[in-house]
Amino acid sequence: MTNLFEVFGNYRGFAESLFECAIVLGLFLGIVIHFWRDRIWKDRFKKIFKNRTARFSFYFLMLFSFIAILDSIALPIFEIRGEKKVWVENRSLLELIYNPELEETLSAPFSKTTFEARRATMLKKSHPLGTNLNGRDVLLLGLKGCRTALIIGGLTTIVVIPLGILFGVLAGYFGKKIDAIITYVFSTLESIPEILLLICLMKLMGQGLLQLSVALGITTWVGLCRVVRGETMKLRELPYVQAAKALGSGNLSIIRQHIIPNLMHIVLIASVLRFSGLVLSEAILSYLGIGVGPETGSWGAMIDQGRDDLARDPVVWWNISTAGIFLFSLILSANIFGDRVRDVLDPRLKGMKE
Amino acid sequence: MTLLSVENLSVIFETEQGIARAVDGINLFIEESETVGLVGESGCGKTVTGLSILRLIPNPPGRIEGGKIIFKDENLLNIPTQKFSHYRGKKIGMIFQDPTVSLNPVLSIKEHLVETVKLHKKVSGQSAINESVRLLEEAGISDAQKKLNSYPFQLSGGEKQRVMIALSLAGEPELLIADEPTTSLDVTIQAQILNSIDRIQKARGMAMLLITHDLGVISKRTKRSYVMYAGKIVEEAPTKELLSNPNHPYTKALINALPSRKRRGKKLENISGAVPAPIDFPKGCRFNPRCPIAIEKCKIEEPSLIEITSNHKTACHLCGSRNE
Repeated sequence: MTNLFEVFGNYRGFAESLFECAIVLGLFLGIVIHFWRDRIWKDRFKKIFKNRTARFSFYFLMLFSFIAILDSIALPIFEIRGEKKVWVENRSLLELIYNPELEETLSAPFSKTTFEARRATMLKKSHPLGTNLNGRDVLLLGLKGCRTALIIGGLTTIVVIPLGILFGVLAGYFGKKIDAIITYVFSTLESIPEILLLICLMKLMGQGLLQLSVALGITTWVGLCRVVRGETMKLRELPYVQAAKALGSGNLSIIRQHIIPNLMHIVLIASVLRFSGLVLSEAILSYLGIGVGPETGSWGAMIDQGRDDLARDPVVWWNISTAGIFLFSLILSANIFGDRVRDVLDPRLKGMKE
Repeated sequence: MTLLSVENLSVIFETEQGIARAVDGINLFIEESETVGLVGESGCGKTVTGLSILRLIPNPPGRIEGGKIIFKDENLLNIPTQKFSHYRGKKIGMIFQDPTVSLNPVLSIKEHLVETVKLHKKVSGQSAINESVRLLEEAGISDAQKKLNSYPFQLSGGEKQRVMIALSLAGEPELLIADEPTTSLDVTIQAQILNSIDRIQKARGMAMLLITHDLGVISKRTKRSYVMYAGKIVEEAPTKELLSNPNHPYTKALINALPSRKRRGKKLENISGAVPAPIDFPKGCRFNPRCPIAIEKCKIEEPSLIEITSNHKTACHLCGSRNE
């Protein structure tokens, strides 16, 4: 029985790592497929990809996602000790493909020995981007950071969208008392310094990917809610909403049929543009030590660790610059793609030069 | 039997400049399966009357201040808001002025129709689609099956208005309020649409309130007509009588402004000035500043709507003199 439990327990790690990734991926795929079946949206997507820069930034994002998916699927590793087959650890596909040795301490890129000048020892294997203080391969850490960054961006978006739409539409459509209450709540929430609120929430819930996403979601839904509220107020007065009312549609069916579909482009623009900000704030929070925690590798945590290394002589640059470059390229491509999405979808920019 | 009667209805809009009395104590009635016209210039309260029957006046700033709207022995103004959506579409349908903005651009025709059909008749899936096709065909759309999958922007103005008509028919209303259904369409399409509405109305035995500024539209299609000016009804008569023998100077001026064969080559007449803003109507008869035959009494006393000959009512001091 114990044996069975052990095996089951081993696979639980596998399931857990896949769980977060599956929520994000499933939802995003669902949204993309839903939009793709719609003729108008299909044309819009085609227009988005017509732009070469946007296309390349999309490929970049896909590459990051691919790495993240590789890192999300973990397989159990067994070792035969005597007659028993013993579980050692779970290794993600990424680690199965690229599995560098664990060294004792710092080492420079492509160096054959460790970094410490006095008692340098031979490395087991040379590392393309060196190792950090704990002897872990920097390239692997950087690649593992992709998953954290994308899941933070994705999960938070998933938390934010329903909150923003629900309260925004309620406030904008019904107006009067409901509007006053919701506006009061989000104005209050907005007046609290964001970092302070985040620190409080993280201390309350504890560290971890899910907790951080929820905390970020609570602090950032206000922006989306504001936009959605304004747009709903505009849509509510449109003739086709009046016509639907005259045809006997109730409030709920008007919201479902006429308001929300006409909000989707704004929600999409806001989410895509906010994505990079979320990834950045994860890095900032990890730097402050209240991020996802050290056991989940993240670029913010890498920068936090690498900060001390900058004081060494000679400077240990590879740690912090790897994280920086990864962060930079993800955010740049997300921003370029987001801008293009806005250019295509935002009616106010229509008619401008392509 | 009277299907709808509006008694002493007043609608006000509270604006920053003051209270606008868009509709000020009007009376009108519609018999079963009768077509009634409501004519007047822009801004004289026709549309507000139509909207207030369906209680669609935006609030704030608008408010129905007083009066009764009795539909089949039931005062519509006393029905709680929650229940009122059962009346819209099912008992009273409405067609709007501009079909291009009355359809949701992100939904296909099918989604519009199926949703509305499901709302009124508890049917689902294929039977709702079949019903939609039937409605489109009834509204005069050829190739309805194919048009079902298109979006509003792929249809012409006339087709869009036909879709709106199909939508308003989905609930099988007993009264249809057509608020300038052809204003945004060109003349040939206008005639086609009006003929379609006429045909449907006769086939279904619906009553209809046709709101328009075009006397040509009401001339052949309505039995009785009301002329509205500045929130008041100034003349009420059978349409034939109204057009051939108008009493009120406003109605006369409206008819004179129509192009006709008799006056070929002459300049078209117009009514000088504009409809007064509903925040400060002139004292006395509201038409007096524009009226060519106004006398001193018109500036002081407001005339009431009185029957001059049978079924022909006019609100004018100078016309009532015959009876006095």
